[in-house]
Amino acid sequence: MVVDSPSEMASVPFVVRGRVFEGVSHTPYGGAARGQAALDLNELVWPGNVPAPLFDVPTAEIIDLLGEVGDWVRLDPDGVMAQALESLVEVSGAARPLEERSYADLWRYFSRDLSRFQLEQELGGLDVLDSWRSIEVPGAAASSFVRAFPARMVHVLAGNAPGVAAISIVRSALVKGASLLKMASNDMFTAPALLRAVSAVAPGHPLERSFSAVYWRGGDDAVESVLMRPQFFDKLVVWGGAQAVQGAARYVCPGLDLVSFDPKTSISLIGKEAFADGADLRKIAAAAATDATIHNQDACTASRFQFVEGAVADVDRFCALLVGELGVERHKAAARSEPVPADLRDEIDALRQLDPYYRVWGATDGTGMVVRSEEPVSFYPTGRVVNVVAVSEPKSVFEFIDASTQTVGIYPDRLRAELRDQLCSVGVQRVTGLGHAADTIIGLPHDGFYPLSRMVRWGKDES
Amino acid sequence: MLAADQTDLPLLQLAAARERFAELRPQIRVLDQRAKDVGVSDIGKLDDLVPTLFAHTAYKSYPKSFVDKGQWDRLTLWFSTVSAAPMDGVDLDGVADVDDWITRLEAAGHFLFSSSGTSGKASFIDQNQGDIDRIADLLTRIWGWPSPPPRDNSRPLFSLTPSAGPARLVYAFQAQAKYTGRPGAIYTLTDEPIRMAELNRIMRLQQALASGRATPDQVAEFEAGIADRAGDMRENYRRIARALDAHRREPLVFHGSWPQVWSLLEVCRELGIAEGGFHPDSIYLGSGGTKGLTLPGDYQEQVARFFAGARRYRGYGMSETSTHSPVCADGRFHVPPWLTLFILDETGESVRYLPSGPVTGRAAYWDPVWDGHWGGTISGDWITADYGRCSCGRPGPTVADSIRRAKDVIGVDDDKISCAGAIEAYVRGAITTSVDRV
Repeated sequence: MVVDSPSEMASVPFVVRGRVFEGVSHTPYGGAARGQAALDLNELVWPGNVPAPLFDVPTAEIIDLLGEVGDWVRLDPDGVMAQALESLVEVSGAARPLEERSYADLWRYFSRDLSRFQLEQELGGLDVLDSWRSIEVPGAAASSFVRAFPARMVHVLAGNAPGVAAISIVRSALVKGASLLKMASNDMFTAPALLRAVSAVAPGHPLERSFSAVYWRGGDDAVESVLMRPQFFDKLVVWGGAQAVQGAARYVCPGLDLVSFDPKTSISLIGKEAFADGADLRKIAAAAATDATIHNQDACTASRFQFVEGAVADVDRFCALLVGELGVERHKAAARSEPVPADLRDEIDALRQLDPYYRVWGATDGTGMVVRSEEPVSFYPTGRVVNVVAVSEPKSVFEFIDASTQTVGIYPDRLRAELRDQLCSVGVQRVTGLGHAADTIIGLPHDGFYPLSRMVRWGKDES
Repeated sequence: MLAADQTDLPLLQLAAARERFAELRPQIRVLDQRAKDVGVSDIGKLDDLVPTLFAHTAYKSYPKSFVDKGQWDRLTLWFSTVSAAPMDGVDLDGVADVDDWITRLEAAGHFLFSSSGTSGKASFIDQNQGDIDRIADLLTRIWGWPSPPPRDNSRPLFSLTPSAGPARLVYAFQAQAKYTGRPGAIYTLTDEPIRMAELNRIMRLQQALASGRATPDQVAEFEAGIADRAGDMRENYRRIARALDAHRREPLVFHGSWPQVWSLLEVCRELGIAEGGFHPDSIYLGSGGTKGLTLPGDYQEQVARFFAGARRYRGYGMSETSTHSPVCADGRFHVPPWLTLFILDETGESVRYLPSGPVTGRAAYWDPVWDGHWGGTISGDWITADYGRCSCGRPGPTVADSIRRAKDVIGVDDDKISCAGAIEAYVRGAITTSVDRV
């Protein structure tokens, strides 16, 4: 079935089960391609009545192939990755040095060790994918058995970090899934490039036949209401944005599960030790800035609110150092972002006038701003804006934590040890040392759950 | 007055802009700050005004906690930065809620008006007595254009608003009551003033919901929905319906927002009040959107059938401008000569202009009428205007009847997804109440 789905979008290469449609927009999105071949929905689904392509392939073989994909991505013999990077920078307006560093890291997601680690941590080993795992049930005469079966998945990708595509491909492959990757408009290049790497190292292999990467406009009923049915897919894996998650949730029904990496906010918590004699406040501010600028503050792990325990004069000293550090080029940050959005600028301009209750450092030109206040500001800090909240004790932070709080980066370690139970009890999903919010470890829980165990269909044989 | 030849109008507007900028910049702190930031020291040409225009969000840029925690001194400090008059002499002693705060400001000569949208924060804009008087004068000269009702207090006046409260609709009613309405034949929906505190309570509930601190009872209350208080209003609608019936042979003036007009129409039907037969000099106006209510697709036609005989009046405006733009026989909205209309691009930074022919973009206005605050506003509207002569023969600028919300237009291709997000995403059902929905 071929559908039309109107939108304005540049021509981008799509990959459908190993076949590359390059130079031709595979949707009618945009002027030149209007009226031409549209998304062929028949090509985008895997039949439910035959096993998924990877079902019979030993997991060890998949892990090896992924490792080879990683090598190919690292060496980029055909310049495919370089071309994707170029397009990402040109078309999506991404910051070049930042995306160069992100691309240089992409191969690491495919590492054999990391694959084994994920399967060990999340599924208790490889065996349960390749065979029935025997379970001794108390009081039962005979063993029972469980096995993880491949699922057919739609992954609604986020486009704010290229790693999202790599993580999604690896996860799907490790659980032998068949996955349709629905790209975001802010990154339509990374996923197809990685699938071309798969084709290069495993032409004709079931791994190649297990993936497609295409674009349609999120929420487009002409595509989504047709595809997102239990007849065609078992799992909807969605990376937030709120709209993306809510859009996908509309299609959830018995037989079609939602696996959601929800939209999140991250914060920092800095104890009074920062101001003690001998503490290097500049270094602490640099760590705080590192956490605030992850992917130019366009990531869920990026810190937006920083609760600092201390007298206002001390906290202001921290703010002055922090604003200087925000404009520093780092591994996961360019030296500046887009200018602060106009609506935020209005709010911040107003706060400038409210001395002594508020104080503002920095400029709206994308090099970083700090707003110091007694409690969190009512806007959502973005565009390299950090709200430093001066608190008299670290526990004040609990008033402001809720289900959307993902990472809390904490200084010093003493405070992290002290508060982690309570933080995670009330909804926080992750605590780290200050400056390490970007160092996500794959294979540990993600947004509060183990993704691989949700990306399979569990079968059992009960005796 | 809308037929003024526009040849020397830009010069007059420029002179006014120069004078007002020089006068108000030292008085309004945020304007001074903005002017400094963007490097505008005087107005050499009209376009120099553009970087000094405020988005409507500037008037709700105060921290929400000032209201939630009753920090009225801080809220007053904030308000003083967007207002042209000092806040000395505002007595804040014993202020209990935001309505008290508004009353105290009024006592000190600050007649603010407020609007509240879906963001959960109300905007506050300052006007002084002179503003109120001038705007009442302008409104009653324009309203009903090209043949406004006489300003001799001779007309039965129907306004489906509360008679008091800090909202532009209410000030508009009060203007018509002053000049147009006949004492003894003035009808409003209620004399119960608009209560901002009630709206704040609903917003606080939403906040509690978002942070997970609301009890199940509170959630149920929220879901039951800020329940349409139309029920409580039923008797008031009956009273107005009967009065409308009694006055239908006289030239009357009628105004209401569409949801209220629709409610009135339903009550008229219930009471068996016949359609039509209105005096030919009667004028009615249905305004605003439908506020998320589901009205029948042909609600405007049904209302027109009810008011058969009367003339329908239409205008396009926003609460931040002193005057609305009335519609001509050719269906175009005529911008009053004292307003400078700018059409801005997607970024809101560059001006789009053609001496004649359609120009599309975000509407922004500079309005010299206000004394209480800076009259430069960027609207949320996406419009097509024409600075040339209208087909009706009068000079421009005019606005086509195709006004949309800018975010619906320029948000169209923004399908970017990022994993960052705030708690608002976790709340089912959003606040859609607004002060003019009573």
